[in-house]
Amino acid sequence: MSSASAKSISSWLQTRNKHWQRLNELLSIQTDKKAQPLDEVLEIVQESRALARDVSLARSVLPNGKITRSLEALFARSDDVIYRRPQAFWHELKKLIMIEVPQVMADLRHDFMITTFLFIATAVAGWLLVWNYPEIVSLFAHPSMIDTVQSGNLWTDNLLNVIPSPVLSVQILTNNIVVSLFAFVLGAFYGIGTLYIISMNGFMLGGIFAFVRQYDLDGRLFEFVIAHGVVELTVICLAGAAGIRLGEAIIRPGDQTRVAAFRNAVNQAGKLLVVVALFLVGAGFIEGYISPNDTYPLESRVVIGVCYGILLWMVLTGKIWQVGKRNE
Amino acid sequence: MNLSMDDQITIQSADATEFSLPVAGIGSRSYAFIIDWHIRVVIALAWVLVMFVILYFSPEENIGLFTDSFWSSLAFIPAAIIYFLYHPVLEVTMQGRTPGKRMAGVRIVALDGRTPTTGALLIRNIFRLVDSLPSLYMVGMAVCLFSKNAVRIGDMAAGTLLVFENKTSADDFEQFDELAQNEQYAPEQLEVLRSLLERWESMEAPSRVRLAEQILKKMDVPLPEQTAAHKYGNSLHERLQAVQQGEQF
Repeated sequence: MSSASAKSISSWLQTRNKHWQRLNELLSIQTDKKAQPLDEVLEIVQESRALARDVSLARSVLPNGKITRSLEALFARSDDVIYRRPQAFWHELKKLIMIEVPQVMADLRHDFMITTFLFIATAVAGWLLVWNYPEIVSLFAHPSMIDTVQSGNLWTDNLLNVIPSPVLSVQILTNNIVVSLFAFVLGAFYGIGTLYIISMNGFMLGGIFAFVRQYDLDGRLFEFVIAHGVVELTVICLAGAAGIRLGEAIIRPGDQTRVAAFRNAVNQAGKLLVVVALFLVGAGFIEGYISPNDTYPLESRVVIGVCYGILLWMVLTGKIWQVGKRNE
Repeated sequence: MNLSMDDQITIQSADATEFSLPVAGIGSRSYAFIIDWHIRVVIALAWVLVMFVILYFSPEENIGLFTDSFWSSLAFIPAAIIYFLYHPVLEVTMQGRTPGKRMAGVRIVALDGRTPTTGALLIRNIFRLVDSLPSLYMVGMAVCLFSKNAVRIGDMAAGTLLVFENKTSADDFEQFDELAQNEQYAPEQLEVLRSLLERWESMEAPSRVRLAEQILKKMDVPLPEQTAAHKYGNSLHERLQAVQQGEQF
């Protein structure tokens, strides 16, 4: 480098350094507090624009140098502050649930039919297998559970004497949310993980019902399950549909790269999980308070189960948001 | 120069300025995770311990922490919440950082170099379920080793990555001033010279002498007279310092 250009770089550094220092100060203030006087904000924007030119210059004149790295870091920070998204959590959530989820649901209808069909088919298979070979039940049921059923009782009897409702609800809803999340994320393995979760759940449901049927307890188990089961089983199939979409994106990414297709699928289908999780919280409380409580007759359980299911469906399809509008 | 240990991601800002961020690899990632893991385990255990102590001194007898469901849920549910929600909650509130990441000097950013959205941070955490399979984050680490930008599946899903957080310090500006004062030599050569001087004491004598000679030659500065080995080293060191001060030879 000639000494002339060394000189010009020196003078550049000399004139610009205090501006960078100032910007650095302003940014530290900006990250510390929420509201900042307008003139300071405008100063940040102005200094950042000027810094952008400095960064370009530094990258061409002093590539890989410490100056370049520092300026880049400073620029990244100012860029982040200037283009910071507005904090609108509740607004975003409302938009997500009211507008985006119904769109995603319409888009996933096909996948949902596939997972539901798979669930029903494996449930029938589980039923047939356990009905014909009862010993298979020991593969997925705990020995103490089998003993209870064989003595003519359900493991759900006296459940509330062992675990109080609030604890039971929290345990159940956590477990269900984790299972649904698994059904979704395991779609990352080309969808196979999702298919496995759905089939296992279907198989176990069918198998257990066939098992209790042999001891004439199926009616009572149905009574226990119906209030929360409608939503819980639907939701598993929904999370599965979202998971299948991930596998689909990886197997057939279309015009995008696999990673980009995967990312888009997660972003789209994942929106469903917000509604899924919310409804699972409700289902958990139904399963903790209503299902094990003998004072609720079958009729009210069926009504609760079906109504909660209809509510889920109306939220998913967005129909519930149109109810009020039609009356206007 | 694009060594795998020194990867960068180049980003174009909204006003078409290019800048690069240094990508953090599997080492810094694990380092941050291990620190965070210890923090959350300690806090969660502390909570359980507090409940245990309260129960121990409570007047009611015959209540066991593990047998009474009310007390056990009071002890273990909050502990579980601390343990499992540590990452999602802190990453959202600290804008892509956690205490462990801060200590490791790394931060989560979106692919555009900015703070990720809340949705992206949640997605990245949900996918911990896959990355932590079958145990000890084996899937995550394996994917990290081979993926572009050294990310795990959760980051791919969310469109995020870990970068080193370079904070510009007051020290940097001093150094810029120093460079600006020195009009005799090219700044990029002075930068190299400075980094050699910073490392002088920790380097082996033959290598630092060799590097000092190379740098001085490149800057057209005459070398000091050849004398006994350690004296020569000292005079090289002095000459480097003199050049840094802007002295001409």
